[in-house]
Amino acid sequence: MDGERETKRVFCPKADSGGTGLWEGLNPELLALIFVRIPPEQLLQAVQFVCKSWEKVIAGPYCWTDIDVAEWCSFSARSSNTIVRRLVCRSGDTVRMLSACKLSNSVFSYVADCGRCLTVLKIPMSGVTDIIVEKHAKSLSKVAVLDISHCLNIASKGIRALGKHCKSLVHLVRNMEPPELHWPYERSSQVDDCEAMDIADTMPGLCHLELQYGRFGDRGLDAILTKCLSLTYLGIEWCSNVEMGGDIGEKSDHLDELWGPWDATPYGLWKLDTEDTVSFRSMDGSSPVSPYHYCWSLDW
Amino acid sequence: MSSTKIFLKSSDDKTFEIDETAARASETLKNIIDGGCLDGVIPLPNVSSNILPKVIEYCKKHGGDNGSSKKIANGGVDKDKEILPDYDEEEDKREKVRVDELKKWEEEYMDFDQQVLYDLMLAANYLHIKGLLDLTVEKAASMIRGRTPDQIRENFNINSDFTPEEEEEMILIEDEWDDEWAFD
Repeated sequence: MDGERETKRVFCPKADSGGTGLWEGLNPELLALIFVRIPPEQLLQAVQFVCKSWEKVIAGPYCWTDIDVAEWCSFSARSSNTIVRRLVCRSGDTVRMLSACKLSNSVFSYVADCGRCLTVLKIPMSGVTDIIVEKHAKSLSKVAVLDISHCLNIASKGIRALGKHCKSLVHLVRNMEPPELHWPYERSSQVDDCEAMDIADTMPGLCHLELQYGRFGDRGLDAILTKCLSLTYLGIEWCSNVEMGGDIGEKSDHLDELWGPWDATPYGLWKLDTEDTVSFRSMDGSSPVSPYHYCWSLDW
Repeated sequence: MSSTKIFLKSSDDKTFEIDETAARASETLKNIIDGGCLDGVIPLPNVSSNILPKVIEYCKKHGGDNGSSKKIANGGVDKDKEILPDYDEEEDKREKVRVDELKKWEEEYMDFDQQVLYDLMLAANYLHIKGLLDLTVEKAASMIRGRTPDQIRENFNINSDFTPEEEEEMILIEDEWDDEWAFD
């Protein structure tokens, strides 16, 4: 590794070795076709240092309409805030898809300001708060697919604001962690229908909804099933307050797929690791696979 | 099997023959053929005689008589369909063999240096041959992935055109990125 690092430091050791100028002059659209197949971190760590014309293409918006650093996040316990800010900046307001985790308030604000074209926004485990979501939701009007799982600081108000402004929203993922991880049992076992009501009231166009470990009960679920009539997928695994009583069974008939509170999903089991990280391992013990393919630290 | 022959003229005035069915692998050629503007020879001022045979080879494999002769061969087997109950399995096997063979062919076909890769990519782009463009773009990407700037320059025969001052500056930026992207 050290050797590799060394070679990386030396720029152009053999100048004038007879470069043909072919690839430097390749048209930017073709270069961008190549570059979108390279992981973003490699574009910025290596490829942009190759020559000026490549640097220019990478600095431009061509390569950054879809920003997916989720995989990188899965290897790093660090937050992706600086990276996301820089990449979104490069997209020059053209970013259509962003998948990252653990975003802060300030980076969320920045993304929203540049996010007029955003249709897919996946920011699980972010520390974004209701106030900031309320302030910026109006910039996210084109978002159709939203993942705000494990965003503990987003609650009723934030969800309402998102529902009110994201009129094209069809796909919402709001999976949480077991509530007893964060609150004492008395509180965690209390029924809280607020979020479910907010979703039902403000997001009637949803087709796909995931609410694992939601704290709502039958009343909240009934509201969702009554108002979100386009729903085809509903995942409410481990929502222990849901009893599926009354006519909920009938109302859920129109769903193509329903994962009920006690339907163990095939993902696997929670496992408390050393180093204070909770990761999700598949049943067969292979590599960690959370529903989002991330591991995360409890103390973000 | 007979098919209309099309003649393509390279940038350096050499003429090559290709079956119409094969030529249709290229959107550009397909449009020219369908547009009825076919006047004996189609001039391709952006494709040289070094590259054109390579392009024709790809078209033959993908749009051309190879595919149709396969269909005919399969048609022959079709008669046995009712007699042989394990026909589907056989068909699957044949399909797998075909895919494996195609992969092997692609591997051999794509075995060339960056100069040819460059010309072929431009030709595929100009002639709108999506499959060939994908192949060449992916090969170029594979020559970049996981490599240092120097290795990339070597692969593509690129000279760094950064001044020493700019390089200094970039080393600083790079350090910054290393810190930010550092894996813990």
